[in-house]
Amino acid sequence: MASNQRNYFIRSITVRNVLFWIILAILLLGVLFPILWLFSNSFKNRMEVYKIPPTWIPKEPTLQAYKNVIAGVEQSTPWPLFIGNSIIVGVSTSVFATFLASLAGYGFARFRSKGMDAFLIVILFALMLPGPVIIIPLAIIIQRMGLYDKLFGLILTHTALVLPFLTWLSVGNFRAIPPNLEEAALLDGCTRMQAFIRIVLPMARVGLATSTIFSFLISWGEYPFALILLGTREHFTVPLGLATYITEFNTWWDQLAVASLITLIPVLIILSIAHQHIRRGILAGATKG
Amino acid sequence: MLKNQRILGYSLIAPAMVVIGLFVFYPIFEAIRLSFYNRILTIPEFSFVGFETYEKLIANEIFRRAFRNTVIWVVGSTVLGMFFGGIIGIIIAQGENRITRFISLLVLIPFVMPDVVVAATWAWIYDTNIGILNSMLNQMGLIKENVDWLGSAKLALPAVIFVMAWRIAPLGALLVQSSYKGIPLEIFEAAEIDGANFFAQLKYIVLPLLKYAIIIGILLTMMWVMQNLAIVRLMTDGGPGRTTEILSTYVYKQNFQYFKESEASAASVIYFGFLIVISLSYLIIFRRVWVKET
Repeated sequence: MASNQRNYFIRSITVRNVLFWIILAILLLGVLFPILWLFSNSFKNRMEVYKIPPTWIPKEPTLQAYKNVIAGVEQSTPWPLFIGNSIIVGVSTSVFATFLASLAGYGFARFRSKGMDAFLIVILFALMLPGPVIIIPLAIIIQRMGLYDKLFGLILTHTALVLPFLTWLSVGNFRAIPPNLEEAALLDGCTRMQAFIRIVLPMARVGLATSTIFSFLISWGEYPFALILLGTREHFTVPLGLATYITEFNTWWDQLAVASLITLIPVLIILSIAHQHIRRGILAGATKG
Repeated sequence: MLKNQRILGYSLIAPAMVVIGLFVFYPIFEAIRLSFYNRILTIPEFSFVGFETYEKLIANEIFRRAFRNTVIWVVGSTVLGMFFGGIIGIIIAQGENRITRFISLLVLIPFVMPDVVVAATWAWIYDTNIGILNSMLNQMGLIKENVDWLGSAKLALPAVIFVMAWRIAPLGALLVQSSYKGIPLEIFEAAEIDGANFFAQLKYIVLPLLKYAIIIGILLTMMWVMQNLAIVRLMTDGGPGRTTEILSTYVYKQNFQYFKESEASAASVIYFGFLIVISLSYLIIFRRVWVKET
């Protein structure tokens, strides 16, 4: 029933269908061919990667590049370490930021007053501030706090970067939950804390998941702040590790392909599982923020 | 009781406000303050100079070029990205089944891809010798000699703009798709009966009704593009010959390569002003839409 709902736009059914699939196929190829390119090259040996003209299908598929990347040979790039660092930073950021944003979102949604609304506008303003403007003073501040080259400094920075957006999501999320449920619980003798944990949080779980996913994705891919806040290789996150393949003297394209895929795979997994959350988050940011 | 409620409300938002204040607002004030000095990291003494740093910047040829490039970069990739994204959005919205849902998932990929991966992959595709772009154009007979896309003063900026457009097109697609679905079917039926063809429907129904989605999409995309430092930095680093220098890479270089802290701060404050104009127009337009809808 839903399948033919939108078909009034182009008239003839056959023309419509054929045209539809052709255009869609071209667009999809345009969107996906860089990823296919990475994928194909990750299985080539080094000779073939540098072959002119380049080929799409590896002649002698090999896992050598994967082995090299994981072993970190030639470039002193310990990928297991980078991945570990990125997971630490990403998970801490998403837990920390989602927690703070939920508190604030609940506060903004339930305790409205002129003063609170003024703070909400401050949040909205922070939502629009660009990274490049704060990057220099932030580097100085982190250094002064003694957090340079520490993962904790990057966690704090990432938390601050995602917090305005998460708070904004969270306000909308809690506003959508009717307050009379908690009021009933309060009348039944629950404390506010109990009402929040037992009644509000379970209802807010979709929103909480959205904000956890968003903050993890942003933190996982974040490059400029990681670049200035981390100094030694042992503390690098995945984007920094990847960048070392690009910027240093010689680009090792075969390993670059593998490293890119390693960086990309968690993102694709999250996207396929939490597709609806991501769409909802982007749309909420666009239409309510 | 009421007073306690108020205190509870403020204490709930306090932790988030402290973090945002310390790591977002304080740095901005710090940048503004620094911009009025003539501080260079390697020289210990510095003094208050008022607007002198700004004057110096505005007189600087490279800064002016970076500013011009930023406008081209932001407008170019936004327009291109919204154009392709809009087309994709309208097409996906035509059908509503498992396949289009799967495709709308795939289309999101460029948007969630980490910047570094985007930059690395496209730098490779653009590569003069081993890049697939030259090889494909060669096979189609469109070029005779390999083109140095990122190394040419003329082509580098359009090349990075195209990458950014590719990256942000999903945002436009998503916005257009979701508001297209909000158009009542009867309008298309009525247009059909009146004999309106595809382009007439597009011109008189779809575009006017999607107007706000498109405007908001454009402003949002511009804000996204302005936040982005990684793409240009990793693909060209402002080169060749600073032809792709944009304000964000300029700020970065002035500070972390040349250690001219005050100049970098002043440039970032100018950048900030630029962004405020865009953000404010977003807020104003958004408010108008919101008020209209509720």
